[in-house]
Amino acid sequence: MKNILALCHKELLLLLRDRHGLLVMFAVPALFILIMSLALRDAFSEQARISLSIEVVNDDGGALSRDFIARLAQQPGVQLKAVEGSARLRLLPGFSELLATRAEFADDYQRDGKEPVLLELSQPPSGPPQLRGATALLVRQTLIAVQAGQLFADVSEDSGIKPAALNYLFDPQHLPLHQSFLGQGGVTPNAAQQAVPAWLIFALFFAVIPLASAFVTERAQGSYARLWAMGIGPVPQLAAKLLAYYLVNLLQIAVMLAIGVFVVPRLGGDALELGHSAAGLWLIGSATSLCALGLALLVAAAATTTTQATLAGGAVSLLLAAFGGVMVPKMVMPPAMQTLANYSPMSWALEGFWDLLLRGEGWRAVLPEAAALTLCGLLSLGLAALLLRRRP
Amino acid sequence: MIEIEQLSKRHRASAKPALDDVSFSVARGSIHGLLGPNGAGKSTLMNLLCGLLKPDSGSLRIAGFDVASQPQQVRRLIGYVPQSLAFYPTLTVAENLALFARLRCASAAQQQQCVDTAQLSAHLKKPAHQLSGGLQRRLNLALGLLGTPQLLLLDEPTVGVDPQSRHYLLNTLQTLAAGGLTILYATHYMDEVSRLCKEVTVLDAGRVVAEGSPQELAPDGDLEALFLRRTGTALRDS
Repeated sequence: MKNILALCHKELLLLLRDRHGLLVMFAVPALFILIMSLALRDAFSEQARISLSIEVVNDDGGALSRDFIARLAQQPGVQLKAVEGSARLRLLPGFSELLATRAEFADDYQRDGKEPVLLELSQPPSGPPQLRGATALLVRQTLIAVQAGQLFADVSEDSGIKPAALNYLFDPQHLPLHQSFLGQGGVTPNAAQQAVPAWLIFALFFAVIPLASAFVTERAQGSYARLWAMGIGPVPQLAAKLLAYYLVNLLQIAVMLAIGVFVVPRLGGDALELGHSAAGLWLIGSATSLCALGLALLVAAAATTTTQATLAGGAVSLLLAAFGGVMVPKMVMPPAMQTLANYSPMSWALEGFWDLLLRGEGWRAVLPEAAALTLCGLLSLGLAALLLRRRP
Repeated sequence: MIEIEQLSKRHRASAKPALDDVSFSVARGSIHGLLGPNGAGKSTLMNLLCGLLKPDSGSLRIAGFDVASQPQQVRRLIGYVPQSLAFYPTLTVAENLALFARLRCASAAQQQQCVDTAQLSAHLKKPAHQLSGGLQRRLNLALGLLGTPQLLLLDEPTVGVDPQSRHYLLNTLQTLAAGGLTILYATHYMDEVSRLCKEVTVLDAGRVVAEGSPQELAPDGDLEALFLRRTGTALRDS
């Protein structure tokens, strides 16, 4: 144990002097957390689920089309600029879509039994495809409101119903619907709740780069063999690295969570809420660390050059992150990809953190994920030790 | 101090044995030269003596202890100085010495003795990678001397050093041997062997091709001519 502690101290000293390693393990994921929490803030916001900037060219110019445009402008999340006159095909800066009312808008609108084209919607090819559907839905809803307003205006003249009461039904600000989230424990899912655990896990797995390259260098330079000649074989050397990087991983977890709680809200993003299970966080964090370090040491044992170690380690981390739901949230993946994601240890870790941070569960909820991660880590460590025993 | 009998070792995926029926012995307190072209089996022999590799057959004894069955006793007796600079470049000289001293259970006094022997006291606070080639070789040697070993295994310790540092290293080794330390010295430099060693073993293709004192092997003093006669002049590219 004395030897393991001495080697652990050495690992920490080496890491402290490895600026690039520290950058990869702390600065890069911290920046990812800040960028993703702020960039995805609106995507997770309850107030503005859709953000549309539409330039409207009103070729019709009549009362009906003006009513349509006015109602469209009242829709939540819509930024609208109306331009009277002939249709323009050039989008103004800052607008993502161009909507034009046809000159025959009013005439065709009143025609019965047909489905005339009243509007033209154009998007730049680089625009997000989901906005096309969202805009079409909004246009449809607004047209129904205009049509219903017309119908009820006619009806109300005969029946005595007040048009204002009818307008209330189509007012987008008065949606008679209350939304809530299942099993949230009072926590609202926001960009920080999603991004912080995802990039925190990525940070832990990215330890593969400094760890594997340092270990390969140690073997190439002969200090690994010198230690072995002194009776300190692969197992105590691996144990020392594991202990040192586990401590660093715990520090990474603390720093990333602190960024989510304190820094992101200061920059205008949503604050991270930590749930109520510190034991659960320690458990899933430790299991994720063991799995990440096991994989890192396996890569280090298999590689023979630092270039191999860095490239293989980076590629493994990026692949696990890409299909494990870190880079692209699992919820937007097609079903087949979601099934594939379940085979990534990063996905197990993410589910574990979400159990605590999003679903408000306690430490017992993360036991299955923690067990899977621990098993994966131990298997990788066993393979790494076997490889090193065969190749001093 | 070292008794090697009929030692053979074949590496995985290698058709030829790295060592084939090698036998020789090294007297206590002597400097024994180990010569051989690239691929002769010198490093394999060093790795077997350190316990990094296990022999396929034959026996290896150091101070009466069998290397294969009594590795712990053997490791306490040996200091290993590999050909590569086997320390941590970003740690300072003092940090490297402290780490290996702790692992070798060397006292502070022993540690200071190694610093003095290698004349490193003026460089203790420097990161190891900032040292000159000669200083790095001296640090490499100092780390091998920690724990006061009885047998020092040196694998080409003077590669890439200036003549002054080389001169200093060779003098130091002579002083250490005079103090009772046994040294197995693997090198390509014939003049070093002639100057330092009482006995020499020449290996080629895993076999002993010559053995004796430098004077016996080359009465005319031209050890290099003897070496080339025994090992041939063909280039060794593997």
